Amino acid sequence: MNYLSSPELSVGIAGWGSYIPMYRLSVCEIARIWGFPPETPKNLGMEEKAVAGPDEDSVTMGYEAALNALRRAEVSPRDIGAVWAGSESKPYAVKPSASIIAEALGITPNTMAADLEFACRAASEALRISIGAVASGLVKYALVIGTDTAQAEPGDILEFTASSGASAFVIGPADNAAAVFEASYTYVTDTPDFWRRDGALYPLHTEAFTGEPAYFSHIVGAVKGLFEKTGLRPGDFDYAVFHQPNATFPLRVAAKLGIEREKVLPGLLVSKIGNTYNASALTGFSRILDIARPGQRVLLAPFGSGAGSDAYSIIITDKVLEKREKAPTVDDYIARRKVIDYASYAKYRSLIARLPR
Amino acid sequence: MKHSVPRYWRSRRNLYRLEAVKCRNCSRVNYPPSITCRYCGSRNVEYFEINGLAKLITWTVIYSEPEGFEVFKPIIVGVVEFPEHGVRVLARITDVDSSELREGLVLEPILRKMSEDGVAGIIRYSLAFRPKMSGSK
Repeated sequence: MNYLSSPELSVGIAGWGSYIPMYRLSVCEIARIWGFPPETPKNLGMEEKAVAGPDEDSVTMGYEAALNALRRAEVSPRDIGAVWAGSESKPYAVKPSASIIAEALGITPNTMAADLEFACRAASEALRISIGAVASGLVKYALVIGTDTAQAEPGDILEFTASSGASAFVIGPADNAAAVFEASYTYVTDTPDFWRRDGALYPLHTEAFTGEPAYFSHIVGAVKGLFEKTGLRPGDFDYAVFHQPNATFPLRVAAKLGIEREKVLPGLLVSKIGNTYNASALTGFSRILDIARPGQRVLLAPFGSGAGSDAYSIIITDKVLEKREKAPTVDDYIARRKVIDYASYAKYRSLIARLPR
Repeated sequence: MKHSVPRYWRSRRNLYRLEAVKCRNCSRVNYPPSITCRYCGSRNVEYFEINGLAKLITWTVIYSEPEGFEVFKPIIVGVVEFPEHGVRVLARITDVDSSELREGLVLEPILRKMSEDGVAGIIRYSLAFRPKMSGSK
């Protein structure tokens, strides 16, 4: 296939931004409260996770990530023609988060806006949609947001990793881009590895099923599809960022693909902030944009249960340097931390609540 | 539902963004925005958005919270000033313990949940202020 005719080549990332809440819960606290073996955090490669405060949700976090992306993009909010938010923790079951964020940023009313749902890869689907929208000329710029206050049932193994955070990207013409898309590829099947039924508070997952037939199969399918489409090989990439449900899966999938772990570690943030679901791989990629040099090539492969994965080849441009300083970096947010105990976490994430008066 | 949805909807721009007006006649800044300059009475005003950093002037801590604010307790409310415009804003202070506050603390505006009308009613969002973090411009 001649990928040089791909629409991706005319599209890039004009601005990027992330948000990580300041509160951190040591995962040893979770093991202590729920009686897990002490080695459980180590087996998951986890130290602590980011916890959204009581006045935060996926709207407020998505707003701040998007604000940082707009600052780096230096485009007028009025030039944003679409706001697409990927989340599986919407504050409203019915009422878009995207319209609240768009209103707060001054983007409304002349814009498209919608929330997308595909577990942890809805925002990545939005990224692919935005490439098409910009390449076709339907919009000049699109704002893509991945944001989650990830839910996990108290005492479930998921609780060790489920955390809070957001990342956002202003997608636009390649000539104002900090990074340009080279190619992208998506791999989707009906795989019931993780779900939350309507009205259920917490997701369920088929424990042994989440690895091989879901995470690994789909990421490998997407990345190999990208390789076949473009002729690129693992050695062509300087960095690789995968979805981060724990600290071991991304390194294992990299090994399956023949990618050195040194290329994965700079964007592997899960041990410090947890799995931010829709913001997981995207925040790892955001950190790569914070540190990469012009000309370097990045492999990005988010994953979402249900299941699907997208693989992107992205090349950093000279403009990344001038845009970098215009907003806080991922490392700034990681460094801003206040450790809380399980009781505060339980209150902040509504695991406990007062009865209505 | 106990919260007025129309009232929230009408005020959303002022809750989400710090809009003010500058009088073209006397050059004074009016906040909250008004179609008539409260200093000279002129109607020749232009809207603009206040951006940037603010300084904490004074604050108080509320322990007896109104309904819908239970989870945010204790609630810190402060008066913050944007020195460039001479504008003072009454707002909630967040992401900080009251023991860490001091006059002149540099703050930045961020969007946060202001209140929730039970489990089924409207969620109100509003700007709040937090201590400036590293990397903020």
